[in-house]
Formats: sequence, C-alpha cells, structure tokens
Amino acid sequence: MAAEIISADRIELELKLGNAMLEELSDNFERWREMLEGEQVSWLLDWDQFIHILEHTLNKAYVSNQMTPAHKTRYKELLSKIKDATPTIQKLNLTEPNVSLTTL
Amino acid sequence: MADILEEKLFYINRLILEAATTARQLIRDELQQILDYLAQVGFDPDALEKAGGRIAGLNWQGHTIRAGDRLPPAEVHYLRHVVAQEEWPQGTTFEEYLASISQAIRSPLAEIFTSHFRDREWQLGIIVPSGELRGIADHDWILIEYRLSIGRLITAYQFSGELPRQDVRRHIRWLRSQHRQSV
Repeated sequence: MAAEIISADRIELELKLGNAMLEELSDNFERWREMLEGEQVSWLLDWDQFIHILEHTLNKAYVSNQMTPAHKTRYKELLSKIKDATPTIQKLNLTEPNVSLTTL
Repeated sequence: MADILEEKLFYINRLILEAATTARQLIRDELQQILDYLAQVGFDPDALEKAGGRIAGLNWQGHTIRAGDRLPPAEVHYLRHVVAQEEWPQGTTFEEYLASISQAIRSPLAEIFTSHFRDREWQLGIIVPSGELRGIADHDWILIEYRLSIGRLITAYQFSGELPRQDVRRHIRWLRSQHRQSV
C-alpha cells in the first residue's frame, strides 16, 4: 500500500500545534485544580487529539522521510520537549505518546 | 421556561444513559430527539476558558488574543480548531463553524457512540465524514462530543483514522454506526 502523502504545510501546522500544546501543558499544570470540569475535559480531548496527530501524522511523516531537514530538526526538538514534560504528563494522568522519545 | 429546559435536559440525559448502560436499544424517534437536542444546545455560553498558546496572537473581534485571555468555549474551539489548526476550510467563519456542527449532528451519515471518558463521566460522541469541511490539516472525520454532567457540547474537532485514544474510554457503545464496533 502506498504511503500516505503528508504535505509540508500540514507538517508545519502540526509542529506548531505540538509546541503550543506543550506551552499550554505547562500553564495548565499550574492551575489544573482551578480549572472547571468543562475546560479540563475539553483540554484533555485536545491533548488526545494532539497525541493522535503526533503518532499518526508527524511520526509517520518522519519515518517515511517526508520531512525536510528543518522539519526533522524541529520534530526532534518537539520530542525532546515531550520527554522533558513526561513527569507533568504523568502527574496529570495524560495520554503518553506511543512513539520513541529517545531513539531518533 | 427554565423548568422546561431542565426537564428536557434530564430526559435527554436519561435516554443517553439508558442507551449507554442498559441493554435497551433506543428507537429511531428517541435517537432523533437526542440529536435534535444536541444540534441546538451548543457549547456552554456561561463558561470561560483560557485562550492558551495555540490562539495567542490571533486577531479576534478587534483585539489581539493573549494566552491568558478568557473566552467562551465556542469561541475558543473555533479559534483553535478552525483558525489555528486549520481543520476546517480557510475562511470558515464562527457562525459557519457552529452551523457545521449542527448540520453534522443531524447528518444521516453520523455515527453515534456513548463512552465513559477517563473513568469520570458519560459522553455521547458523533462522528461524521469531514467531506467539504476538510481543511489544510486534512482530516477525514469530524468528532463532536456532548458531556452529560455539563449538558453541553464540549468539543468539535477533526481527526483521521480511528477514534483518537480509545484506551482512555471505557464501555464504548455504538448507537448508530456504519462500520465501527464496540470495544
């Protein structure tokens, strides 16, 4: 089966999303208990969407060599940030990505 | 008037709970009543959510959004999923986003499921092909979720492939499905 073609625009979009989600993670961790149920759940669903995109779009684009060198660098930086954020992810019981954060 | 709305909410939630937790199958009219209710109930108009990094810097209603600004959930979801993440076609307005959600809920192609999300509360989800509503993010499906404990929609975004992170949901039951199976 032919590999899905993932456009450079889409990769760019999802890399920006990933970095923004990690900024929000840090901020939300500080105020998690102050957040109302609706805001918490809405953000949890967005986090799950982001992890899904990380696994099914960004990682797929990386392993199928559809990223430019600049995108690859930024993708590795994103994975490194996720690795650094793992304690926070675990404290909030968020979904952890099913991609290697260390072996790229 | 408030009593009538509360009664309706209670009735709709009871129907959803019965479908989610008992062997009873909803008849077509009951399912349609749920969908009609969800199509008009929308996001919580009284709540506020923090804008966050994804939409910081966007211009909205004459202002540049800061990460710490607080906005109604409908606006936050529009700005995140339509403007910043480009899941809907470029140029989709706020009103068109809300209308597309209502249309998706009423679509004959809508697949409908209940699930217990993260062991907390019951939710009803609706999945519809993105079709003409596909944006640059290039996703195949629109997902809309209603949370019983809030009595409002809590998200409307797009995704590809399987329903994201089914592992954080329990007791998934499909009330109407073209091809998906209960887990």
